[in-house]
Amino acid sequence: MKLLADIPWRAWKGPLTDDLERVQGGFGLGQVPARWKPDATTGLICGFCATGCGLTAHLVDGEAVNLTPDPHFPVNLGMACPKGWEALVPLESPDRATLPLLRNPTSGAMEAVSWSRALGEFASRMKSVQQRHGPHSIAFLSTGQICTEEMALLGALFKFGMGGLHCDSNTRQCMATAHVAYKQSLGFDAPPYTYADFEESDCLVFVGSNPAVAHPILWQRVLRNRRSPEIVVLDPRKTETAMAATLHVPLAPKSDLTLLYGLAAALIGRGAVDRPFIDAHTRGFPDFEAFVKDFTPERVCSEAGITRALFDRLVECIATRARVSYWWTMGVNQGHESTRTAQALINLALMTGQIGKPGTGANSITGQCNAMGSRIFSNVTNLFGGREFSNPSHRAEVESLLRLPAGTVPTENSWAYDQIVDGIESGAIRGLWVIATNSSHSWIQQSRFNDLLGRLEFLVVQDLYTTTETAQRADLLLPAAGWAEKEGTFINSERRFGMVKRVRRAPGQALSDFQIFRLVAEAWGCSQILEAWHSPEAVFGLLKALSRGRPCDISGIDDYRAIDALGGIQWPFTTAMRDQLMDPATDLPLEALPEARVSEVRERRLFADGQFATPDGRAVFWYASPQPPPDTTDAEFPWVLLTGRGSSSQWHTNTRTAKSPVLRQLYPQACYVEIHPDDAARIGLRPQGRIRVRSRRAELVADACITPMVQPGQVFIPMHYSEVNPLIRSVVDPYSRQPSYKFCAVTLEALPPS
Amino acid sequence: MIGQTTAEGPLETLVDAFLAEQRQLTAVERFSQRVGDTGRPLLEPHYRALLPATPPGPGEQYAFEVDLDQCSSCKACVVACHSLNGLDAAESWREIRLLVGPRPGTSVPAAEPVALAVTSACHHCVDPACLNGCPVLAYDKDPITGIVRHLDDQCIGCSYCIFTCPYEVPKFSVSRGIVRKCDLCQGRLAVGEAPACVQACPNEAIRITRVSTSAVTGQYRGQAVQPGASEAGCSLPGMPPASLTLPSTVYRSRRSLDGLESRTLSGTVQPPEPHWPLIAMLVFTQWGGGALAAVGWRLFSADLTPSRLEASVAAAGCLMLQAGLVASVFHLGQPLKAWRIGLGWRTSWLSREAIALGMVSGVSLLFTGLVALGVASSGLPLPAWMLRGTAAVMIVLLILATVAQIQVYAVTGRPRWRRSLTASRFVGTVALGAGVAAGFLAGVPAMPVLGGLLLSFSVTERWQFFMAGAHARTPGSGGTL
Repeated sequence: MKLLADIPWRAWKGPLTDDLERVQGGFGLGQVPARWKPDATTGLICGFCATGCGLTAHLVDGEAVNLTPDPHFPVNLGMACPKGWEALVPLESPDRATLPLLRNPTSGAMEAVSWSRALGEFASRMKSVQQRHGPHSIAFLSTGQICTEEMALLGALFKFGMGGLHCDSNTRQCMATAHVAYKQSLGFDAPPYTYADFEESDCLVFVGSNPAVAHPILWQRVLRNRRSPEIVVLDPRKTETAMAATLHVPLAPKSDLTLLYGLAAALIGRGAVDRPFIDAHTRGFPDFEAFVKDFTPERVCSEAGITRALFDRLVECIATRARVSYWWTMGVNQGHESTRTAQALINLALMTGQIGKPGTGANSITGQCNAMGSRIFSNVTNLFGGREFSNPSHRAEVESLLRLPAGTVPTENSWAYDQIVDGIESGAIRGLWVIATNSSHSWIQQSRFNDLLGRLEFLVVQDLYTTTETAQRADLLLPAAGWAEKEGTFINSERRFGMVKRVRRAPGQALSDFQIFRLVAEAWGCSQILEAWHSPEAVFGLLKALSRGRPCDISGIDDYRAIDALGGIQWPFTTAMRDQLMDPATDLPLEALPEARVSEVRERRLFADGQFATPDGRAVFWYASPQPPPDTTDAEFPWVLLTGRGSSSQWHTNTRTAKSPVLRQLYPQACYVEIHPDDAARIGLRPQGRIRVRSRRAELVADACITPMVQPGQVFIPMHYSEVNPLIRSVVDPYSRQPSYKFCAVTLEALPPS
Repeated sequence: MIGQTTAEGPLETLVDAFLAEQRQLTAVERFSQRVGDTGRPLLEPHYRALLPATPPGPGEQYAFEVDLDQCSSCKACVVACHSLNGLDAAESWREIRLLVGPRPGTSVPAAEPVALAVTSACHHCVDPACLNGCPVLAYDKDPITGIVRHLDDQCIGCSYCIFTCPYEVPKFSVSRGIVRKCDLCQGRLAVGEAPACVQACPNEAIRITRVSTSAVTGQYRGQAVQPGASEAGCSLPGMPPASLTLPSTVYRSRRSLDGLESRTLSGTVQPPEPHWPLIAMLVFTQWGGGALAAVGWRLFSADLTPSRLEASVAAAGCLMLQAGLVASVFHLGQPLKAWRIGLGWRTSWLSREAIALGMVSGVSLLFTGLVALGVASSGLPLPAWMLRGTAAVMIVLLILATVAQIQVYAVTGRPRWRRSLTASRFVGTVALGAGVAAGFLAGVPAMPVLGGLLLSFSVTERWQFFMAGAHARTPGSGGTL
């Protein structure tokens, strides 16, 4: 019997059971996997979207073994979307670039070279291009995905050290419109809101925005609103957000500008405007009032394809709720008249006085994690600190602050992305440096872009991976360290600076973009002017100085430790504000600020005093007559193709998110097209069938997803699938030069199931 | 490397310094540790209201409750389960299905949703088919919490629970050779912490609740309804009938989901597996069994002295049967633990099949030995009843084993494996084996060629059986996306 009892009939414990053991992780984490029990934790900002969620890195010997959302961080309150949870995994991909790779001109193959050889090639070939074709024949295309300090160093290196002029960032594809719209209307690229406004609004109007999928953690903040708000969604598609809204306005694609002007006219008509605010704080309202008179409800409803009852209900919502906020994303920014559309929203907020108060504002939700860093501190479209290259006193300020010889700062503006691409075509641009962006997938009319890359004499790509569509076309690939493998700051949608920290070792010889730029400066022979730019935190110090007295003043932020300790800090944070919070005489660092006082500055909005950043302090009404989209539908191409984000688990060109096996389970693997059931019947689509989608430029075949999320006459394809891009016509907004990805005339053909 | 420079210039020095710096991880020293090493989880205030105040009482158990109206389809629950439980790269115990509308021929009112994500994990069923079917008692249903737990070190990796669970919740881990599944984070619940998915949902759409097991039973037993089709008015299209296992999960929605159809995300779809060791096992044991039965029946009914031909056919049948049993071991992820296979005989048809086949194996060896002895000694040196008796016992055991084999698949509730279909396939295969044996015994010419052809037909038939029925994921009625 003893013998029988000793036989392990049922093994309740053992090595396989131990694999899943969970233990108390400490540090307020609760239970964690035993094999990843941390010995310390530290916080850092997520490197995907501009929500800017705080993540807690679980550290063992200083290295991150796991991530959880930070419950203390004011943005995300302990939550994250799938991308954030899985953010460490893309760093471990086998296709990481670990050594500089140089294309062998004879064999055409990429061969590993030393850093010094790579940098030598970089400097000699770029300089050779400049010698033969002029100093402005080299250009760079950068990103909203690297740290502010890295962007700043790149902008200084290129424009002050290398003699370059033309450069742009992939933020041209997402935020240029918001940038220009704010700058013209409010005098500075200054999104006025703080995330608490999601919770404090009585009526949230989302225009071309699907936060439930694109910004899940901002949507969380909307759902925490306890004021029984109206949630209004203006979107041709019945998105996840529209389904959860109290009012969905399924307007016809690109009828947004007309509808918004009609809305303004209707609000004026019923007297739902704030005349005292208009008189005291704005300029140009009478002309605007006269302009919108033509946008009668009849005209607007007919052009937008909505009923009068729906329009009236929309007007009612906005006219009667006390706190109204307007939120827009790519549905507005990526249009052929996007700047005026964004400004139509700003106009609505201005004329109703819905700005600068809790739960109000004309609020652009940013795309990339550091698009705002790029907009204000990259020295690309604007001189440092939101200054103008064309302004002599601005140039002199920067030259003095950075101790640059007079005349170093270029007097001309850079070409925008589309102009640089045209410059490659015309031969004006011969050398191109692409940093942390995948233009070969994402730039509008990718096939033309990729053809033009063949005309370059030298294409340098600086990236984490050897496999992006762009990296595969490079002559020289510089291996970059990624998010969490380097230090610096990001600025999120609500203007909050947050820390990125080095909690992972980069593979092989990959280096942070910051150090790569320093090495380029050394190889170029211009490092002497960048002596003060020796570390990310030193650059942050320079940016503080450059921001002083500007609307984005951050001179009151002591250092990185202060940003970390306070849960991020929104700009502006001036020296005066710091002195108010902490007596300068105490000599204590800002990080020692007591919690009670931290909460005073945790969520701040702009323009509470009605003073805008224009020269006369007044906000300006900008408007123009709506124009039809250039890619018109006709008998041959009767459907409108819309694009947008597919799921919360995909990021842009899927360079990183496709590396995670768990994320890959959360979205369709193959390109698919959403089509309305009526249209599916019309083209004879069979269940599980496929569709050929053809535009005037290209065609693709995709799986069909029959769903009334799209309206009849419209189809939708997520942008993450590379094949959709060539279909779309290359059209840019004249002011922001942001491409329009949202309207493409196509024809459909049903194909049998594969 | 090409073009290696030899001289150590200032650039090289700088590169070396930067590479060295890149490897230094200094965040701990540079920044203060904001949260100390002690105390309750920081998220506790967020999830406290999402857990029941007290543990389940008698007749109750824990269950997931999902508010579909609150879910924004962000899918954080899937990834948080993966991260907070330290699962393998592609492993999560939650998954997402889509409900997309409308089904052909139906319409969805304009105010209703047309696309929904449905998150699901293990349903911790009141009558868990994984537990009932497990041949080695590797599942345990906790008498107090009702959590259906998998004992990873007990598992032999037979994957049968993947067949029996209508939701295909257990997942096979190739590297470990066992299945793993959701344990409702029982260790977390035990200390008042929320399961990973509950902690991670930004919209508080997943909570833990207590359900009455008798209420769940009463709701589903004998009813052809889908799980969660509760008084809350929520029914989930595309899910298997809840009557199979009495799942405890509660789905709630104020809206009508009737017009929607279920779609599976292509990333979660595994290609159907042929299960070659199982094909070999079933075909060989059934053919061998059929052949043995043919010889046994002849010797039993005619009381003959075994001939050399009969001995050869018996030996061939016995060899096939043993080969089939050997093949089955290759199906196991943990073959060294195969000895446990009989432990689950009280509820598991797989256990019963294994026991019956084990006995068949022994008796068939005895039978074949006796036949051989009879041939070798030209006349049985033993009483004739011994051979007849052995043959009779063997035939009875073969029938029982075949019944068990049919039941193994029939009880899974999969339409392509329903009892009538499986029985006709399996009995047909036994009959083929017996028929071919009879052909040999009758000296039919060209029997080896015919036998070979028929055997390959059986293998093809069984391959088709698994490809059709053993889809690793059952696609939603609306297909995959």
